[in-house]
Amino acid sequence: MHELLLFASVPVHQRHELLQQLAGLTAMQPRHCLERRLIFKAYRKPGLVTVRTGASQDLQSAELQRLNKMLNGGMYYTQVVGSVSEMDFGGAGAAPPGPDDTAMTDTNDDANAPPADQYDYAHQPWRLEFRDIPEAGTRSAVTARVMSSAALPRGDIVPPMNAWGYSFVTEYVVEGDVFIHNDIVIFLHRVLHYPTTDQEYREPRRQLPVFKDMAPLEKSGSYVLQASITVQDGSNQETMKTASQHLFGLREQLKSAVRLEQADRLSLDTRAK
Amino acid sequence: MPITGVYFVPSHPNASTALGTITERLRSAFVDEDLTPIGRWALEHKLMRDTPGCLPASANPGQQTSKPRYMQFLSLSHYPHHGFIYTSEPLEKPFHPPNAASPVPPSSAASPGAHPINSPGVVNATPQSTGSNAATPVSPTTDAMRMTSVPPSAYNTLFQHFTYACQPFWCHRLTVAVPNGAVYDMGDFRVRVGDVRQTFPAARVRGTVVEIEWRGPSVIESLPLSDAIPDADSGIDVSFVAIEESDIDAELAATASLIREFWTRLQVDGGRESILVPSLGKEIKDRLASCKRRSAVPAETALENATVQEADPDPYAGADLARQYMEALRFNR
Amino acid sequence: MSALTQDQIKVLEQSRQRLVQLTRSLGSLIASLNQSDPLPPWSSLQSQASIISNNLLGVSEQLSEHGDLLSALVAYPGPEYPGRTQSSTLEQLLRTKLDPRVEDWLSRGRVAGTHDPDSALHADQNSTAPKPLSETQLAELWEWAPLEANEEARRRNWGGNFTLEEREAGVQNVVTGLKRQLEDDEGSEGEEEEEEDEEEDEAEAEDEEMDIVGVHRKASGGLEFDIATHHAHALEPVVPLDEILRYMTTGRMP
Repeated sequence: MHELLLFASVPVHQRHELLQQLAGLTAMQPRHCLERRLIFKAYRKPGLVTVRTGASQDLQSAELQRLNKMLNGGMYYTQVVGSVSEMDFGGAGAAPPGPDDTAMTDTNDDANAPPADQYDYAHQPWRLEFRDIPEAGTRSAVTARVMSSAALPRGDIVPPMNAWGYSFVTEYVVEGDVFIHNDIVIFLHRVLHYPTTDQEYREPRRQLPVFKDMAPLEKSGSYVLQASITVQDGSNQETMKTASQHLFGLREQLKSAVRLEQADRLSLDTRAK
Repeated sequence: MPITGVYFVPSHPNASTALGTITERLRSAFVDEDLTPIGRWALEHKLMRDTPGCLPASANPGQQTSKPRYMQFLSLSHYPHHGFIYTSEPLEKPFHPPNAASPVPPSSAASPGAHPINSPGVVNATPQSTGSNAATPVSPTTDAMRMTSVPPSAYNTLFQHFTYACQPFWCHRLTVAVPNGAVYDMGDFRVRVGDVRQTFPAARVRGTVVEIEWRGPSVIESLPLSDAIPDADSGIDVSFVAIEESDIDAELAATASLIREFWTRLQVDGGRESILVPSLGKEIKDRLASCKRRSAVPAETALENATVQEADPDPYAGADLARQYMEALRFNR
Repeated sequence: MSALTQDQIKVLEQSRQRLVQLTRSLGSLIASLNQSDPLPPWSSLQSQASIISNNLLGVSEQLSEHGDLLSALVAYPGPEYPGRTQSSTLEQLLRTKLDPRVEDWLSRGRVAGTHDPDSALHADQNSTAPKPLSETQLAELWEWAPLEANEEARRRNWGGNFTLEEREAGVQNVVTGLKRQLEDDEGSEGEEEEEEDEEEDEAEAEDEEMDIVGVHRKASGGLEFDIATHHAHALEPVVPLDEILRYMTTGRMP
C-alpha cells in the first residue's frame, strides 16, 4: 500500500478554529483519539555480516549475490501503535491507592491484575505501522511512501517484536482529532511526552501516568495537521495522480487557514543506520 | 482447544506420496467406521530463516556458524480467524536508547560488553521490572520458539512486511501447502490427511501430513474461554479451580499416547511425530491461570472485563496444533 | 378596401381594453411610490408588480394572436372625424413611423429578446443604456452577493439597529423607511450568526458544537476560511515541523 501526505504546523491558538473549520468542511464532528506509539528499531546480530564476494564462482553465485544484497538491504524503524483512552491514564476514576498505583512496581503476579477500571496492559491491542522513507524525486509536491498496517496480538508486544528482529527504542503518546473528508484522513495531532523520571524505560510502560502530567513535545503546544490518502495499488499511476489531486484540492480549500506542504523527506526517514 | 498430534511422512520428489497408503490403512484398520470424508481442509506454511544463516559456510569462512533462527507462518482452514507466526526467540534482548548513535557497530565482533544492554549503568537503571525483561540472554542451548497469533489479514501483511523491510535478517526460504486435504471422523478421533506440496521456490511434492485430533472427553476442553462471560444463572463455575497445571500436562501426555496408539494401528513407516512439542499447552495454562484469577475477583468486575473484549473470544485457539505443524514442517533449508 | 367586420372591431376593442388596464396599473404603482409615506408595504408592491406583469402578458398575447389583422389595418380619417378639434390624436393615428422614443424601446426590447445578452453587451460596448445580465451573470451575482454581504457584515461590530456612523450623525436623522421606531439598544447582543447560516449548508448537518468562523467562496470555486487575524496570546511553534516528524519517526529528540 502507498500513502500520500501533506503536513502543516498549526500554532496552538489556531487549533480551536481549525477544528471548527474542519468540522464545517467535512460535515462531521472531530473524533478524538489518543494513541500510545512505541518506536522499534530493526537490529542485526553483530559480527555476522561480512560476506566474501567474488570468491565463489560456482553455481551458487547467483543465490549468493541475492543473499548478499539482502544482507545489505535496508533496516527500518517501525511503530507499534495502540489506542488508549484518557481513562487509561492513572488518576482517572477512583483508583484505590495501593502498590499498583505507584507507577513502577511492575508485577508479574497474576493475582494482582488491575481491576477493570484501570489500564490493563495485558489486554492492550496493538498494531504494527510500518512506513518506508518517502519516495525520492517525485514530481508531484506530495509526500508519497510505502506503508503497511497489521493487527498484532494484545498485551506485551515486546517479546514477539524482539523475536521478529525489532528492539524497543522509546515511546510517546499522540493526542489528536481525526476527520474524514471523502478519501482524505485529516489528523490534527501533537506528541505528548511522559513525565520525565530518573528512570530510563527500556520497555513500554505497564501503567500510564496521570494524563495532565503528559507534556507536549513542542513546548508551545502546537499541533501538526496531517492529511493523508491511502492507495491500495501504488504502482497504478492513475490512482496515485487522482489521490494527489484530491490532496491539492484540500490544500486549496484550507489555503487561507493553514499551509499544507510536502514534508522534508529526511525528517520521515525510517531507515535504521 | 482440542488435543492433537501431527505426523508427517516425507516422500521423494518424484515418487508417489503415502496418501494412498494412509487412506487405505484407515479403511482397513477401522472396518466398522464409514470412511467418507466429512469435509475438506487446507494449509499453507511459509518458512523464513535468518538471512546470514542462509549463506553457505564457504562464503563465511572463519566465523562460527550460529544457530539458525526461523520464522514460520501457518494458516489452517480449520482456524480461519487465525494466522500463526512461530519465531525463534532472540539470542539477546537488545535495546536502543533513542538518541544514541548506532549501538552496535555492525562489523565488530559480538562482544557482550559493547552492547548497551550489558553496560552496568543501564542494567541498574531498570529495577525489578518484569521477569521477561532481561539483560539475561536466553540460553543458547534452547530451541525456544515464540508463538504469536494474529488475524488473517494481519498475517499476510506481516509476511509481506518481513520480506520487504527485514531483508538483512529474514529470508523467505520456502512455501508449502496442503491445497485439498480430506477430513474423516473415526470414532473418538478426527483425522485430517493431505499431500504437502512445495510451491516456492520450486514446485515439488514434499510428503503427506496426518493430523489426529482427540475428540473424546477432556478436562482441557471444559475450561471456559478466558474472556467468556460467566453464565448468569449458574454463577461462576468454579470447578476449574481444582485443576492444576500438572493436570493439564498429565492429560496432554495421556492423550498423546492415545494418538500414538491410533497412529500405530495404521502401520505407516517413516512418519515423523510431532505431538509433545516444546511449550505445548502454554496457552491452556495461561487460560487456566486467568480463570483462577477471574474467580478471585467479584463477578461484576469479570463481566466488565469481558465486555471490553473484541470479537475474538479465544485469540490463541489452535496454537498447540499450529506448534505441531510448525515443528513438523520446518524443513531444513 | 373593405370595412371592418364586427369581429375585427371586437379585436381592436379588446386590445384597447388591455392597454388601458396596463396603463392604469402602471399609473397606480407610480402613484403609490410617489405619494405614500412611509413606503407601501412590500407585499403590496409585489402584488402590484404581479398585476402589471399579468397585464403585459395579456397585451402581448393579444397583439401576437391578432398580429396579421393589426399589421394589415390602415387608419384613415373618415369624413365625420372631428379633424379640427382632435388634430393631435389624428396626427398620432396617421403616423407611419413610430415615435423616436418608442423606436428606442422597441430596439432595446428586440436586442434583449433575440440576442444572447452576453454578446449584446460586447456589441453595445459604447451604449450607455443599462445592460441586462445573462443567466450566468445572475448566478454569479447571487453567489457573490451573500458572501460579500456576509463579509461586509463581519467587518462591523454587530449588535444594534444602527451603525456607528449613523449613531454619530444622530439616530433621529436616519431615514429608515420603516413604520416602527427602531430602538437604539447599544450593547445588547444581536443575532449575529443569522446570516452565516445560509451560506454554509454543510455546517447545518451537525449540531452546533463547532461553528464556522467564516467562509468565502473563491472565484476558482473552492472554499476559503477566515481565521482570526490576531490573538492576545499568540504562541508560535518553537520546534520546527521537521523535527517533530523526525522525533515521531525515530524517537530522536529535537
